[in-house]
Amino acid sequence: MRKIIVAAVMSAMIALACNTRTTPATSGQPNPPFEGEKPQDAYVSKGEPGNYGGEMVLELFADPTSFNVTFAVDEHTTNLLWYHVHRCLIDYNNGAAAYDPGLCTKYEVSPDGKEWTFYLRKGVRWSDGEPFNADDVIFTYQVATDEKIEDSSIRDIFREGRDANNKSIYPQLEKVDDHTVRFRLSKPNADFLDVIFNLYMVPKHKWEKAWKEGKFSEQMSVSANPRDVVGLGPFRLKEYTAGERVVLERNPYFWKVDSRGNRLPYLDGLKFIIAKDFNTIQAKFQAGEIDVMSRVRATDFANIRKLESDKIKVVDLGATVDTRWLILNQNPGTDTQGKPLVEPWKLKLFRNQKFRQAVSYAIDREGLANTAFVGRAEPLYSFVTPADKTWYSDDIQKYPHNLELAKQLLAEVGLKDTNGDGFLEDADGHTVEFAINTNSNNEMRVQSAAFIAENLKAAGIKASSVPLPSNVMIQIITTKLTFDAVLFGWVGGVPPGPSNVKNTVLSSAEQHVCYPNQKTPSTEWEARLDELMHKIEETVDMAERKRMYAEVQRIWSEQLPEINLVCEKEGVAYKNKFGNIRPSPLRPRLTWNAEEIYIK
Amino acid sequence: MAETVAQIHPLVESARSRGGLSPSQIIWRKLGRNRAAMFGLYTLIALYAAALLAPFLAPYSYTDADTKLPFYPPMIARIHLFDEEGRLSRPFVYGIKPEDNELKTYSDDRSVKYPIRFFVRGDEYRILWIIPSKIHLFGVERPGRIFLFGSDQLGRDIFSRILYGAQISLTIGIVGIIISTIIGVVVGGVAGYFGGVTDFLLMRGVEVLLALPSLYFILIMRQMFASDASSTSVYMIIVLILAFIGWATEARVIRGMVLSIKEREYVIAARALGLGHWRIITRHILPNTLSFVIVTATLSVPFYILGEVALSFLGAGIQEPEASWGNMLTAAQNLWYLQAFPWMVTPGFFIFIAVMAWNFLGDGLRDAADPRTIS
Amino acid sequence: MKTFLLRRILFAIPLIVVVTFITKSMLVLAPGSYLDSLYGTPGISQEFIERQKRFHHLDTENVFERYWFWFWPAMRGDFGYSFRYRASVWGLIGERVVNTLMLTGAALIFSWGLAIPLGVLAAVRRNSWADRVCSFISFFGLSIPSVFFSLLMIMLAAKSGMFPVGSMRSAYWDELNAWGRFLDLLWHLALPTVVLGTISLAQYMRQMRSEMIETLSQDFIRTARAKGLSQSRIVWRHAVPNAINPLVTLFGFSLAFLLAGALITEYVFAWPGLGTLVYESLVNKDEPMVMAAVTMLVLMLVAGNLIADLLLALIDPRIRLE
Repeated sequence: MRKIIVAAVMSAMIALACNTRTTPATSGQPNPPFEGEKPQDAYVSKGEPGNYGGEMVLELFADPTSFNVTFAVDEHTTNLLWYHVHRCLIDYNNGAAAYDPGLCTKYEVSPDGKEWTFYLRKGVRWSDGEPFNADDVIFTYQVATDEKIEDSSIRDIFREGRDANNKSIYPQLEKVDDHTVRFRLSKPNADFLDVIFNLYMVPKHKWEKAWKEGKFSEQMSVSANPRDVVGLGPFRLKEYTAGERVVLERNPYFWKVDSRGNRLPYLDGLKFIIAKDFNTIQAKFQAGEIDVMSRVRATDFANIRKLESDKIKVVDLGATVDTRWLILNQNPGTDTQGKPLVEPWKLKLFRNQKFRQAVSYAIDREGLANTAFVGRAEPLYSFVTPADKTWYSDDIQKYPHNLELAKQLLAEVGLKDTNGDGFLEDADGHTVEFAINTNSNNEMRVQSAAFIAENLKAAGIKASSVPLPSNVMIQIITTKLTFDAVLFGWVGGVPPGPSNVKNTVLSSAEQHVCYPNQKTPSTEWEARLDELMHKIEETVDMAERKRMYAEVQRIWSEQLPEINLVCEKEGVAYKNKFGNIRPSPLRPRLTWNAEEIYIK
Repeated sequence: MAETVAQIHPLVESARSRGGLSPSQIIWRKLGRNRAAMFGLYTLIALYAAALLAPFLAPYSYTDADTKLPFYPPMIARIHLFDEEGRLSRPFVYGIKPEDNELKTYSDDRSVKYPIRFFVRGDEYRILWIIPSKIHLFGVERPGRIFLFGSDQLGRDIFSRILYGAQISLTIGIVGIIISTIIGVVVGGVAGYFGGVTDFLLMRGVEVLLALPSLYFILIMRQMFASDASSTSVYMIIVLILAFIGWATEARVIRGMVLSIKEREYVIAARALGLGHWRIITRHILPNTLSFVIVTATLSVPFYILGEVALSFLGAGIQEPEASWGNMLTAAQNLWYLQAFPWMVTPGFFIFIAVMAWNFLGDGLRDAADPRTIS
Repeated sequence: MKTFLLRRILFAIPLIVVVTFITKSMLVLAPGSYLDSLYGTPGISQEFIERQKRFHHLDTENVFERYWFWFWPAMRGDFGYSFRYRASVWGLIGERVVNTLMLTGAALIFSWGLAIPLGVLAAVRRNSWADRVCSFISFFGLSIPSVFFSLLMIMLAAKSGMFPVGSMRSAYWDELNAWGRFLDLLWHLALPTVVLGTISLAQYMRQMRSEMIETLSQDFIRTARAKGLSQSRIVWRHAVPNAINPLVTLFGFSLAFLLAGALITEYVFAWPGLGTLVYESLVNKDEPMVMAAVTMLVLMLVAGNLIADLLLALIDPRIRLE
């Protein structure tokens, strides 16, 4: 009896252990099922010609929150929908970091920068076969700027300002003909393409009725029929199982062809496996279950690098556009009870440029990169990272770790260790001490804060690291504003550039964390930054814009409204069997040209 | 009268038959003969003593990081007693040479030897939070480093952090159990003694608490007190939250015991003598629940220790740079670390040992306090 | 019997009201809201956040008002939409409940399936090596923190490559046939089940052992022995059915924790269950989701206790429900 049980258990375990994939076959189809005729002026892709068939298995870090692209805001939903399922009037070529006429054959801007004309490609069809034309653009824009739709954020991007009655001013969109639309702006905006690049097309024939009934925001929820999600991307939604997978299939009406005139995309589909943790994704990639890892974090890179072989390629993308920074609170305001947000003696220090520079010199960015980022980060001295090839300027003030210089600057500020406790005091005997807050759910930030606190102690500043739950953290930097110092970071937008940082650089911006929502700039350098940013927006000449943006970066690095710390290096890994993969540090790193990817 | 006493407390009877030992003496004797329980007791004494003397025993402070040496493997097996010629020498360790910065591998730098010295001067600390001192039990001269259990991702000594972490992780159990026992005994005693509406209301409250899905509730409560972030208040908040959830079971059982005790003759007699409620509860009823209270308290200490671990692991407990056994495990939760730097999970063994020791002791106490078991 | 049931059900109603009220007040009093998680996302303005605040009734700090906003529709069965997923909470919870039940169910089978035979074995062969092994297992199970145990298991999985490190399904799940899917699921279940099951295994085994020892020393067993019955017959026919009674109550309680008890294991093994959903919702302050989940967990607890009582009454004729 006992033997039988043992044998049964053993065999069950063997069966489990040997449970390997049974049906791996995905063969290329010679004649993929495209439908509709080829678009008259189809976009001709520049990638190498490939073969049809096969699918790519990718990771998705969380469930999508909606399939309605107008409401897609969080990273995971946009990772799924943007580029793959939906397209804007123009495309962005992440590899070349430049706009690419996608749905338009060309676009024009008037010399004053106020009129933008887009010429649509003829013969383009939606993924359900209906033709796409100027009416769809008008409809999409109407929905996007519809103030009755509460939970859409896109109209804030289009808003140019408010009139005397506090009514929003949006650019006027007019239909020139069936395949031409023109935006008229009330003031010049050289970055208008960055604005347009948020307007993902939605089909009028499908949703006009629902929108008129005021029910647009309820459409295309995650529980809706995948067939209803109609877009212009190379793939369309086929199936979604919550917590497990999202399957995209080829859009048979897609409007691009390769250099041989064959229609795209090559792949039969994309399969996103929802895996919320990096360990699982790593293990699945190691086991060959998923084909690509579009984000190899600093802490995983060494481990993934070991997998590199003729079958697997691991690419170090270097710096990303995301930044990490430490901000000292420079807000001279008071709370509702009239109490100062920052103690006056501290504020005096924080508003002192020399003090901020001393702090910056005291921070050992190399050491920080070596520990908290396991060697996968590089020092950063302004808010633009080297990953932004177009705009990054190297002509900025840098702060290599220099304790002596930091101490000297602190002495110049008038700080001395008067009571011999190892920490500096100001003239009135206050020990220079402050707390560095950061959000506790981000391990790297918690470790960075602890690390920097130790750095500052070495320079005689009694800093301590105080991690807070993220919602508390957000509250103190947005509404309460009572903090000494925070360590946080920004996720870089795509495409990077001045229009994406207005919200942090302008002194009137909410995310100008060191002193947000200023009515008038409180310092000369902030006034200069504001002036430059406005000029950049209005200037069309690229060289002039770059020069001004370089000046912004220079002032930033000298004045340190954010003491930028490091930017993390990331990587991607993928199976070598895919052709036409051109990784880019901008999201989506591997599949921005999903239509061109094929299996060798 | 003697008859009744023996009925009330069987221990008293066995005490008489054993030549006049008091009940607590009997319990001690029984406990002393239980090897597992004594093992638990000695382990706990050692662990708590180590926690108390952490700054002295630890060669480094819990924030002391050598940023050039993250993920250095444990040195405990590489303390050398023999030098190159094979002669016995003072225990020493070799210097450290980083090898691969990406994979974080190191090799011994055999040109430098750092003898391990005892009672060396190091970071300043306070003995028992009072007397300042700089003497550490052992250490090596800088720039040498001794990482008995290896170093973590910031290059901090895991051995030192485990000792400092013990101060938090181990005391949370004791403090928590004291608080919840006091609440449980008071509420259970009052409810059982007075009965009626008081009993009904208190017991419904207890039932609500028992109906809460506890871990989620602890997390919700933790959010509520999220803004206060100094390390002492985080500690107190966690203790209080755990105690708040923990007292209910105790209260319910105490109430049951009180219900039966209050019908005993001597309580009725005390009441007839006109003694006050308070006096009756504290002098005549609660002392009879004492052995039970001690046993349950001992057995529930692990709940607090594990509670802190779970909370800190989920990022809602003790925060870096403060060390606790739970938040040290959080850092280990990465596939690469688990494979390449398995010493990151060392704190887990200590949690395991501490909880096991409490369980052994609690079990032993229960057996010893149970009059039915005769050893 | 009927009055007993009625009373229990009636008592559950105020219980749920009180518990949900406490939950809501704590959510309201806790700083921050769901909208904070949108901060810093490119393209999200402060205006949008203000609009959303009004939209979701998050603009009042009055606990009673906020509770009413939840309670009144909930009374009529409308538990609202998840802030984050813009979908009905029950739909989202339903999907996850199945996953959690699979995990906890497997753990239940594992722990009970092993606890009873091992407990009996340990009791029958007292002080033998089998007993010692069992008592080691039980101390191990009672003392090992699930966090640590899970990490060790993941370490094992990663080093050996025999088991998946996390998640519930392989990426190629949809290409498998029914049998392959079943095996795939078992394969993914193995480690979390062992972690979750070992802890309760220890508890049940100890209980079973001590009940068994108690029963074996009773008169009717001695009578059976005197009658010359075989050892296995005495154990399985006479002793076990009597010793198992108190465990039935435990079984009822373990039902109650089927849904609530697996957060840590789910979290570490990235199991897409209810625990991780509730945890995520809590961290993101997705209030409708947390409220619905709490309501359901409390109901499960009440039902579990009820089942425990009913089971006991069913098995033990001495107990009568009143």
